[in-house]
Amino acid sequence: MNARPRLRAAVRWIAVVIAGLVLLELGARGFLWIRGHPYDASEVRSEVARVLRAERERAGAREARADRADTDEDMEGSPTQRYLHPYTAWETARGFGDLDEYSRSLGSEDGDTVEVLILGGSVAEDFGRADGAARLGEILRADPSFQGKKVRFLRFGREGYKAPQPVNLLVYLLDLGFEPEVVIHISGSEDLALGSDNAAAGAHPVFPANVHWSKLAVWGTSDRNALDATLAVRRTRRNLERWGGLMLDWGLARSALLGYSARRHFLDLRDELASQAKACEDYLANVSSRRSLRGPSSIGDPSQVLGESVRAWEEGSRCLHGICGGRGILYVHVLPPALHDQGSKKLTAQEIERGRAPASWVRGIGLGYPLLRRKGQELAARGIDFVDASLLFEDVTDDVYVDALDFGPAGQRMLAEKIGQAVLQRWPMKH
Amino acid sequence: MSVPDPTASRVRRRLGILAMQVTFALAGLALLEVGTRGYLWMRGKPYDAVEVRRQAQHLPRVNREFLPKEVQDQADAAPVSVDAISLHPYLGWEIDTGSDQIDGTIRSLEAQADPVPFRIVVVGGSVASAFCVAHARDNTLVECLSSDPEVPPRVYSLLNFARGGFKQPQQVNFLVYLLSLGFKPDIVINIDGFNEVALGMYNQTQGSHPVFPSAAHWSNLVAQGASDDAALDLMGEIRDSQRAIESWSERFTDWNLERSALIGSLALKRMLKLRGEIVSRFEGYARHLAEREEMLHMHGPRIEGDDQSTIEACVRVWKESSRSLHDICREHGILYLHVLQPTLHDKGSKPVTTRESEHGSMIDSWMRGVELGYPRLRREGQDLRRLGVEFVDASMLFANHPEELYYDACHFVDAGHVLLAKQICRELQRCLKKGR
Repeated sequence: MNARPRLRAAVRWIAVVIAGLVLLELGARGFLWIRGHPYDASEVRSEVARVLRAERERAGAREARADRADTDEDMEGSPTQRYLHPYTAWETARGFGDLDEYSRSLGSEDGDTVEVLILGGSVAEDFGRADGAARLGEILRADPSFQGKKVRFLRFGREGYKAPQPVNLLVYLLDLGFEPEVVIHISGSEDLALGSDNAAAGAHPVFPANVHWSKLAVWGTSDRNALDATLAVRRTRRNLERWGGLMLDWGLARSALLGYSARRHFLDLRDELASQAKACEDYLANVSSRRSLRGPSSIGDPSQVLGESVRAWEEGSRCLHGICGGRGILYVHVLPPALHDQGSKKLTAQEIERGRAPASWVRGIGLGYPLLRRKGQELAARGIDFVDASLLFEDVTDDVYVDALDFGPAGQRMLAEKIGQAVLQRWPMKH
Repeated sequence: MSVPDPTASRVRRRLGILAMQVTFALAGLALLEVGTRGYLWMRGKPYDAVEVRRQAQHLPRVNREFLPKEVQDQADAAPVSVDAISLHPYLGWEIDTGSDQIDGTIRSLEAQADPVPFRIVVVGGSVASAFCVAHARDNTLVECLSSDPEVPPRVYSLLNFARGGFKQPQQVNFLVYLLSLGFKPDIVINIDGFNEVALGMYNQTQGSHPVFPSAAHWSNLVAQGASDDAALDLMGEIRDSQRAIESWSERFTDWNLERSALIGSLALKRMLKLRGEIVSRFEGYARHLAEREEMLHMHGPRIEGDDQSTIEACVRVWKESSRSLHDICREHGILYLHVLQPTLHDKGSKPVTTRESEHGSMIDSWMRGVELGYPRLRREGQDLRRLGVEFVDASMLFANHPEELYYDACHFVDAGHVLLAKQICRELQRCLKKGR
């Protein structure tokens, strides 16, 4: 008896609620129309999809950076792409591959193979990979003291390396079981140019080249604030994705009332994410620059900067000499020529054009090379086999340099002759 | 005759029941408290409120950073550094206070002290670092060196360049870095061995080569920041547990929970459980990073083979790096002393006490590293001597010491550091008298 009135009441209530919702929906649409922003469901949907896509792309970019690749030189995926290394600051993709390849033959070398390890920066890298090593191999094999021997080059010159990176690299290779018989260390120009460049960027000259290191070392901190800031970004991003997914999957945008409110919340989350990400990046940049990027407190006086670079170069040579000496390895330290070393070569118009470099490089090499030559004499007096090749191109009038530091095949072959001579002079004493 | 007010009597009755309930509850709690204390006493571990409070305050400190730290529960243990770490281009990573130390060292060079101190640099891992911290309290090594009439009188300065988690070749690189900055020590003492075999073996389980720095530190730094979402979520769980431990510790301090054996024990148990969660979640996180095999910069060269070949790699890294340190020191006229540290799980190296046994547990890979590695380190140490390295095998230093010296699997209390300092002093006196 009582069921029917109750049912009627329930239906009435449902109808009231639905009517209320419809009224609210119409009211919301009317309100937005009067305010000059008529509600457009498809626009809301595409806006949500657009924000989600942008955030995913941003997150993807951050992931790529977290993989510690130095990617802003159009060389992503290339052999020269740099990755963090615990002892030499970075290593290239090709370098990792080379090490893998060389390691496979560890312990299987026959007694007839002489392993020649090449260390240093870009000049050493070019020398090892191109005409320099090839010519040096010819020179060595042609000498009676190398009769019946094979010469194998271990190419570990790396663009941008400077002291003490070659020392750490040799220590690392010896720990892995490498046993080279000759170490040729070609260094000087990058030690000065990049050391000076570091100081200009507020980094210590003994730290690795700031231009590479600063890109790799961002995020390299474990403090809780950095973590919490990162995690806050992650949580908000997850909320944003969840909310956006909800809006798209449930079609909330169809209703002006729900779509408008949901969109407001979604955009609030996006703004929150942007400000959290900014705060996080700022914090990490600040922390990283203080602790990891710059090294010891910077020094301002240019003469002090040069002094630091020259000392690191000298110490690097002494450390390498000590390590090699203890193992009976022939160590030859070569000071290569550099375009901005005044008076070291009559430059051609093309070389002047190609040799343009940052002022810090020019200043570092211009002021530093005379110091390196003098220090080189001191190294030689200490018993280090030091080869001053800085004036190798003094009488050459042709094009040799391809940029401010590196030279082409003709220059490489000339350097190989000089190094070959030095190795052959010392080789019999070692054997 | 007045009629009793039924409402008032009902209220009185209810109040009486309530009072009885409160009394029973209090009596029950008191009984539980007494029972807990009695139970703990019968189990031979009487409740110690001071110790419980100390542990409750200590736990958040060791969890201050992302990486779980060893829990020290020995009052006289030299504290192991709990600094945050950041990437370093030549050392893999450096503690944040290390940057200030380097700045201070450079400034001290400019200060030109008179007389110029005789600089003793200590390198190695956490045991070497704790050795320096203990030395700052008792000065055993310097006093011992100064007491020898045959050693010329000097002002000694002992500098701690050892870092928790460091292993070779980080020690070599540290010296090279210091020399590059213009700092030349007079003596270098390298106290190592444990990390090289234990962390080297752990590295292998994580897919990393033993020559690379401790995977627990390095992989985390390399992957940190934005890495993949799964890694971030795992990190988030760890941070939640870390924050929970901190909240519990604050409650402990604010409400003096340690006053009750029952509540204090339960709260501490909860904190230790959270600590366990952190460690196991961190292991999960490390495993997750280890699975990212494509990242050569995270794991280093590929290593294949069994435990034996891994140990050979660990020992070679240890030996070759020591040779490099020796050669660099010789070139610079620096006296180099290489000390193989003792460690609890090196069989026969010490009569282990019950408490040492209880507190000395460690993960399987560390255990295998020590068991397989220490005999090899001793043998290769002899070869180092033949090569001219001043090698000191201190691995059996505690062989005749039944007293408690270890507070965990590898760190020792001050008494252990004093014994080590005395042995190092004897060796240094011998070398200095030789005029090296």
